Amino acid sequence: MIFNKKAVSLVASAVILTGVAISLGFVVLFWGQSMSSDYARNYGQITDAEIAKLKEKLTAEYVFYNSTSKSIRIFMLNAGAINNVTIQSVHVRNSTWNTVTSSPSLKFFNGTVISDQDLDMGEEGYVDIVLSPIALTVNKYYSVRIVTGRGSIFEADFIA
Amino acid sequence: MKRISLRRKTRFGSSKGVSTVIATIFLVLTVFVLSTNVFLWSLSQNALYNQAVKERNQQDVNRLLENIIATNATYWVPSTGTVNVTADLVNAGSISVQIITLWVLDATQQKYNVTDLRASNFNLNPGDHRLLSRAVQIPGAVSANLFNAWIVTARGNKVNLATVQNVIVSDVTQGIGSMTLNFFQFRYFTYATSTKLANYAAGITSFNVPGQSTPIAFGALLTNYDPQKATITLNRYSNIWLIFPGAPGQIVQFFIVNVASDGTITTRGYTPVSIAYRETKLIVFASASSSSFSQNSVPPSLTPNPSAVNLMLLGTIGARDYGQNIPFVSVYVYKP
Repeated sequence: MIFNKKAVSLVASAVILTGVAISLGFVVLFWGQSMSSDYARNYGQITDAEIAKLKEKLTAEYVFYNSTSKSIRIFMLNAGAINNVTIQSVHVRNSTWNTVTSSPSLKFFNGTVISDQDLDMGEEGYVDIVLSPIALTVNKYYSVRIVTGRGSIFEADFIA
Repeated sequence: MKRISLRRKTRFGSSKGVSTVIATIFLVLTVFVLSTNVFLWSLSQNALYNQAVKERNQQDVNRLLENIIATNATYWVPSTGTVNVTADLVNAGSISVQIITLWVLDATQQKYNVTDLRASNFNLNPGDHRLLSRAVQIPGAVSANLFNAWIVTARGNKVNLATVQNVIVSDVTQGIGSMTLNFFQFRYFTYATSTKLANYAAGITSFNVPGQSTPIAFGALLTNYDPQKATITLNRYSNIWLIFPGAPGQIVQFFIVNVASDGTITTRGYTPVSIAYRETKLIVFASASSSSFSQNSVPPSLTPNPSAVNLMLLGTIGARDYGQNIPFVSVYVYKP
């Protein structure tokens, strides 16, 4: 009789142990699943961003330096396969000098401001970069680096 | 007592192992499920990325396959501030190309203008040849200025319009005029009815023409090779005139007429014929009068006779007056 009572507690402990093990297993499973889905979501977002970046292609049709106003005008064409290409910053530089303009205003070729401030596929627009009081040296070689909102970088050269 | 304890140990020792096994199974399952999910997800994302890379590569390849050759660029300034730009464009690549923008730079003034060509559907299939001709406004531009121009394709390529001339001097007939005559395609027509040419537009390619009052008309293939690339418009006084050395002072004129595609001559009035740069047109000279159509022929008094044929062209070239006389052809007028 005494022996049988001890057996009951042993069975109970075994059941509890098993239950705890199963519960812990499920907890670990769900935790792992949530971690992996977080990872997958992040990975997906990064992949989507990279794909979008890959589809961007900006062509500088013409870079014009106005020596009077000490500014440059960059005419661009979205020759890529994705809409909503925004301009985050424009770097004007040569081998020894660099200046950055953030979020310049995008305008259509006819001079009207682009309301959504982005270039859709096949759309053309320009940005004005005011360098004043800095004046570029006439006949010297410069380059512009256009950084898009998605992080793509496009370069164009011009002679002041 | 010892026997009971051993039996107990044997029986309940196995129950402790069950939880370990279950935990191990869970662990393995968890790791397997999670790693499989992540692995498959990574595979699908990689596939998407690879697809995007392929598309981008294809776009780059297409961009590189574009090969537009732009030659014979001319910049003509008919009036201050207006620049007429013309160029021959040939798609020498293996892919269709859409020209979307024309840029013209006045390098002297450092002024520029841009023209959107999308509305005019300036598209070139492989092998296509097209003449680009646009009037562009650049304030203050005069003909002495230096100009440069380039076009931009929808794929983002830029092509400079080269000013290299590939028209040989004999084509242009400098010293004679802007229009040339295709000597070997000179032809004459007889009439099917009183106002309809027989066998139009082929006619009879020959330098022996019937006289003796047989109604005839002449056809000349004219090409506009104006160095300024302006369009030539011929007025109603343009004519072919035959001069007969054997009968001094005797001239027969055949004035220009409008002819429908079936060979029917417009009898009332004449609509000036325009020939664009590098365009070739068959021009028919048939009428005895420049004001209205009437059949013409070489009279019996001048038959048979050799004759020098001259092409007298009058009208406008661009915005200016135009006049040119083209010799070179001789005919023998025979008795039919």
